Amino acid sequence: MSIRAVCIGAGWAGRLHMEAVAESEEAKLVALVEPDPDKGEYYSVKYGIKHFSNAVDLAKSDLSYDMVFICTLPELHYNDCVTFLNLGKDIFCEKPVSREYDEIVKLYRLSGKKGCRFGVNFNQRYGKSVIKAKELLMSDPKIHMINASMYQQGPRFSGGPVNKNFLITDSCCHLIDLMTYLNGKAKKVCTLLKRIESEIITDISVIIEFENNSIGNMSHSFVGGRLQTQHPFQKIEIHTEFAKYDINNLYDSLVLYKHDSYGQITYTPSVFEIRDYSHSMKLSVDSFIKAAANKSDVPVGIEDAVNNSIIIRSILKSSKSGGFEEVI
Amino acid sequence: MLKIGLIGFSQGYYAVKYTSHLARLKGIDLTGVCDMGCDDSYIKECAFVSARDFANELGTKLYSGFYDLLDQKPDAVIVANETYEHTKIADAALSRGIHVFVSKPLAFKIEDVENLRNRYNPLRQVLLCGNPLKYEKGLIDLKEQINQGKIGKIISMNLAINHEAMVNQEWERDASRSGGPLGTYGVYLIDIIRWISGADFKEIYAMGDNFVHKSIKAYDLVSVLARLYNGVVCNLQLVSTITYEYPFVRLEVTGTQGSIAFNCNNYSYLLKSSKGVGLGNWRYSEMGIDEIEHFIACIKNGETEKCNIDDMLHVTKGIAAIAKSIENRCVVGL
Repeated sequence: MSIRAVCIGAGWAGRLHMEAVAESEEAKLVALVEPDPDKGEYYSVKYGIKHFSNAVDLAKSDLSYDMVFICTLPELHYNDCVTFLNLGKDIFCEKPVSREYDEIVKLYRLSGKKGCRFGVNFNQRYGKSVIKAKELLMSDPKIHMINASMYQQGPRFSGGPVNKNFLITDSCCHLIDLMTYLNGKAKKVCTLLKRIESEIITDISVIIEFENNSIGNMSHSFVGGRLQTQHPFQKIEIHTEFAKYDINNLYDSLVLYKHDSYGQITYTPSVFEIRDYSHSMKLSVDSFIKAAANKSDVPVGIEDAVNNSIIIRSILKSSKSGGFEEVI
Repeated sequence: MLKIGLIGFSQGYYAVKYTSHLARLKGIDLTGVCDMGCDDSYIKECAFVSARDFANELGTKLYSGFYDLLDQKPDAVIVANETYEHTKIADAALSRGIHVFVSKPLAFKIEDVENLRNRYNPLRQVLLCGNPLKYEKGLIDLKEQINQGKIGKIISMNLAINHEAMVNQEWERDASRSGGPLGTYGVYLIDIIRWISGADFKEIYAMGDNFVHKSIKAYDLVSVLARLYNGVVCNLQLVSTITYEYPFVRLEVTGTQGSIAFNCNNYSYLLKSSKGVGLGNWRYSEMGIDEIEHFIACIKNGETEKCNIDDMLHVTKGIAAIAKSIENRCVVGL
């Protein structure tokens, strides 16, 4: 066990990151930064690790560690990332790395300059159905159209971590990542936004032209922030040269409709496999740790966050111009 | 006794379906069928039966020219020939006081619909335009749930039509005669959204391409982002790059109080709201038969056409806007 890891933040994501590190054969959790003393003490005891109440104290300490998991609120990510990159630590950061394109680019450059690994938790790539679809698409790469939609109860008002673009920067970033992961780079976007009895944007539809000339549609709704259901939480449809792929809720199923067959093939996880959302989080963390341990490429890196941020910037630009915008 | 004739076999599936059903109904007298002077091989390619055999089977007469059939003074005709000729034949029949049902779609060009609309008096005759989906019982149920306020005010709609491209017949491959996939199925995209939402299209942003069926020289995959006049945002997709239909129609409607989804191969709908989750009924929906029976009810009982010429004007304007948006990569207002 060679990698010594620290987790900053013990919220929902931080808890899962810590679990994943604790279960890893290649890493050991050595400390936690958490301002809430009760939470800090709880996890300190649970994992037998040192507790710091803020990141500055950790940075100033003589504790030995190699990797930092950033699981704080998005607006705090940048400063923490800068602090620990300057100390030469590898970083694994929750999404969105930042809501500002410029900050993500700065982190990209700083991590390169410091020679640090920088992973990003676009964990939805690790949904079982997504993994299977990606595998099948290797032999069916000519995509005609990809549609991704997501519906969840979301906030209606700004405040705390929520700003008016929260739906786009913090939630759509997942859909954008999945679409580009499965289908390559985007070229143009055109956007429609809505606010439904809310201060913040609650609904978005984007039509996308990809560099491979395929077409994409992304829609996301907080359904007014009032509906207490997730209406199919997440759905991805991919039309290719040879088949249509339906991904349901990342884990539920991948249904394949081949053009040359009247049958359909359904892939579902085994009943013995964990199939909840948090599992994809832990797989994502684990793959970063393994890549670091094996000194191989970062599976999902800061450049993915840069590309994601460029698309978000173009989407916001398009929503203002009311027309198509280049993804540049 | 209501005298009805069939004009054209180009839309063979519908021509045979509609007319065969009429032949089984009481109070209907089949005046005849017209093959538009097309040879046996053409008719068989379209309808899998020769016009002569079909006429014999139904015990009716075969006419070569559609004026010959109209001269028999039927009360009504069904028009199922090549799409680009629909309005011309409909006009000829309507001007003689004959009720007309035109198989989907009435037309794919705005000017064809406008010309017919300018000459047609809806108070005198029935002109029912084909759109079988308006007779799908699941969609009717879904619309009813929305009308009852079960999902509150509509926020967004997502409609996908997966339908194989009509490429088997030579006329279908010629987009100037068939309209291509967009001209053929655009009625589903535009009319169904207007019907369910009760609002017209305001802006269209579209992308499309010919990915598979190079011979048809038309878009075989179209994706549309649209805003309606009531603010509803729509995602519409027409996929004709396939060789058979997957879940043919999928519609998701999200509202302020819930959402409702329709998948024509499954339960009629899935309703989710803060009051719980509900499934619609299983149903058997013979859309074509319901469509033709509605036509008869319009004539006999004065029912209002479920798809009329004004609907088709919106459809053709929508199709034109989609094509323009794809071609010019711009937002097109309606």
